[in-house]
Amino acid sequence: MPDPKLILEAIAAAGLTAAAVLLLCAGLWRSPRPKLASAGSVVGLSLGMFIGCWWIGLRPHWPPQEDQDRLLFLLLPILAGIELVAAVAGRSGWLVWLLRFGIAASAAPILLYHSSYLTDLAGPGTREWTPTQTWMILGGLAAALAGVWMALVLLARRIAPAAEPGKSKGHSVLFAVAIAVAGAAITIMLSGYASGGEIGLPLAAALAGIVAASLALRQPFPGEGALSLGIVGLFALLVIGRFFGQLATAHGALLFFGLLLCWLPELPRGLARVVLVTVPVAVALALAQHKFAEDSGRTSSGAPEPSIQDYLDFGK
Amino acid sequence: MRQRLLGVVVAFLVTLIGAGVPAHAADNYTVDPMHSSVYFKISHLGLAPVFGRFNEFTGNFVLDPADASKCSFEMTIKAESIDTNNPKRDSHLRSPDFFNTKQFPAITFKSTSVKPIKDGYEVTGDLTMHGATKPVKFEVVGGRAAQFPPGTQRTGFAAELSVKRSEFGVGAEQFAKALGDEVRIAVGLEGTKR
Repeated sequence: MPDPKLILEAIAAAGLTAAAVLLLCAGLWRSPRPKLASAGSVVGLSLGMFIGCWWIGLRPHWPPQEDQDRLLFLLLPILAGIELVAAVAGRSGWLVWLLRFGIAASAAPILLYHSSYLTDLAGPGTREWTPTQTWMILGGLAAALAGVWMALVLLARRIAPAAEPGKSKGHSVLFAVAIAVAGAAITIMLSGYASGGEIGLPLAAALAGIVAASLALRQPFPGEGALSLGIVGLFALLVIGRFFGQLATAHGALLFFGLLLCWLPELPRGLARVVLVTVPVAVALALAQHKFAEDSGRTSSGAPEPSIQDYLDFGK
Repeated sequence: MRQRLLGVVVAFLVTLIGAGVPAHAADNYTVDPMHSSVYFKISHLGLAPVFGRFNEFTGNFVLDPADASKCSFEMTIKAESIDTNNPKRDSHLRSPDFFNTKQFPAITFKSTSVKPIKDGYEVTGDLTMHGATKPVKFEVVGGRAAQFPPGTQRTGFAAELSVKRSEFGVGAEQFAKALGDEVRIAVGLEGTKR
């Protein structure tokens, strides 16, 4: 099993590197340098994460062959490049969003490339998903990523102007993503994919390092690039955990869509009350349905098991 | 002229006799999974070996007692069928920490040369696992024939070989201390003649 001491060292290395790079880029100037701060957060986050991964002993291969290789050598560097250009340009207009949607659409196909889900690896007709299923699953994943990404960036923009330099309000979304990434990392490790989950720990630490450093900055912090890397990183971890490990779909969905609760304080009080009650009810329903399906499978005698829908439709 | 005619007649007779005696053909066998097994063992913490097996595989082999160079062995193992009598461990072994069965679903062996030895053959071939192909050499011992059930001709072999999992990239670096690098593989193979 992974060495806890080594993991703690990697977490510290990732967090400190990310914070140091951001402070070096934006903390040395008396006047606000939002472009430098933004670029520094992207570079610091990427560098911190890669140093943390290296420290743990994760050694991706080139050319990329497996999910981790494609995550660390393709998906995240491409996104970091886009966010770096957006940061230096100083705005994230329609072109940046177009590229982000491109990332949202291609993230899952990149991670699942040449896997038994999409490719006939064991002879003709052996791929696990039919073309229709492939379109539906990849389309659903792309829509989920794009939706959560947009929702959180809009939220960060909405609350950032209200935050004064050095105040934490503008950073809370980024910190929430860091918590979700850390939770996802441990959940994936517990789901039987240790090295996949381990990638998340340096990422979470680097995100937390960026948040900590940004609190020390004497200027408002535009952390859209770091936020994007965190959200896509979380999504990628959950995808590899679900499709290459044994992460339960319900756990993955909970960890990813749970981020949308960041919007809760922005909602009118009445609506917030409804959402607060709906969330645990929906989670309980999903877990109950999952347990029911599991128990039904266990007692199966070979005959097709009726679903809940079959019971509901009976006699109609 | 007479000699020439005799020559033609002799050649014709030889051809005729030759056509009547069938040339010895190699025998093709299909692996019988019910009576075959693929086991492995690996050291855990340097204390004791842990044993496991693969439950699903297919294969075939060709035997030519007269000419070993025409013999061949092929096998495909479904990596996902790994079984160490512990479902959680098996799930972990299927993940990219080890076999990454969604990316590399098959473990294959294909012989490149077969030489006769006492009681069997020395087989050299390519073993592909976790996306890496390495040459391996081992002995297969056996080859006795039997009819079982009546009417079905079969033969069988036993083989043992050793591979280093690090050469195939199986097992993340974090597990290097906990698990031995050497994996002993034992195969019992029965094939039914086609």
